[in-house]
Amino acid sequence: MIQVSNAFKRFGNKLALNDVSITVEEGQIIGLLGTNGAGKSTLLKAMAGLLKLDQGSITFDGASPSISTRASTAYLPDMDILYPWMTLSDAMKYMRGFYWDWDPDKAHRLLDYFELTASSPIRQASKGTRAKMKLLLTLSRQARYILMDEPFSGIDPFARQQIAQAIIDDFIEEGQTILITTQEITETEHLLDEILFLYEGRLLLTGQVENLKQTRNQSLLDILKEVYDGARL
Amino acid sequence: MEFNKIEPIYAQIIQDIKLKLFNGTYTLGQVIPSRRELAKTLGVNPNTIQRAYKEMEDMNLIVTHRGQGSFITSDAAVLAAIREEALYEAIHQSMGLLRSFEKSDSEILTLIQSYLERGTSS
Repeated sequence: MIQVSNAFKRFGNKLALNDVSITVEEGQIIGLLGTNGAGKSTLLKAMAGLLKLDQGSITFDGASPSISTRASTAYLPDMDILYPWMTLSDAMKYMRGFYWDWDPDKAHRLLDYFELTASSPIRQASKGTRAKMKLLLTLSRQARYILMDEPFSGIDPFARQQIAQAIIDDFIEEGQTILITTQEITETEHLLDEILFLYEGRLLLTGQVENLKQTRNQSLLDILKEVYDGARL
Repeated sequence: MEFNKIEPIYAQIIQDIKLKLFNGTYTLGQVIPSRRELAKTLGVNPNTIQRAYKEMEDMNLIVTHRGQGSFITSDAAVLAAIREEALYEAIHQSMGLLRSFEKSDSEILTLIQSYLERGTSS
């Protein structure tokens, strides 16, 4: 279980996180939703232990972030992490040397699934292909917690669909706890158990997607639009 | 399977399985996809599939035998009851639509009768 309590983070005069408290239960896929600059990535980075909160705390099963919590957490960053001069196969070897939970069989399955060529240099790959490479490097670890920052942004709908399927397939096998930040709401809602909707650093809405739809009889996007319009008044 | 964006997905999955049973795609006692298979083929969160199956078990529409899989009920009486319920639901919805034209129930009945008599019911 991940617990975030009263998290505050300021960048200059902008409050990126404004008293955010959440509880993430095990074995769920959670969508961190919100507009640009809502604080999604900041929250995810803080959970990954890459950013220090100004105030508040984050615990993993009651423990503060440390080397051991980081070892059970796989993080897929928004930007390119891959060294462009490496081939995919170099990057896989690099990850294997770095993380004890690297699963080479899984890496090969994902390589086949995405129809990637291990010997191809990362520099020459298209944006969609790099997104798949990044996902391969993240999912091939057997981490308990997977944090993904915008895994679908800027890629074509076909690649997006393939990536969504890879995430679901992996979740079916391992039942990890997965947090995904995304703006592609209609395309990801069928993956999600729960949503956390952020606006200007504040948590506006949280809930189980299926329950929200059932009680409000609206699409998730319409529900969020209503909450968003309400917050801007 | 295409999902609409408004109804919960688990409810749409139940609806789909009922429909397949009514139109003969599934028969009594037939095995249906496992939760895992269905999550994979639909690309849907397996917890959502679990909820649909749990609910169908609670209404006795399906039974799950450990290690063997899930099956449509083999009890014809259960099927008849579920079919009747679905039929009443369809009538309920149609009536709601027809009443929205501000016609009385007896006018609606006359309209339906003359519609059927014209032989355009198909």
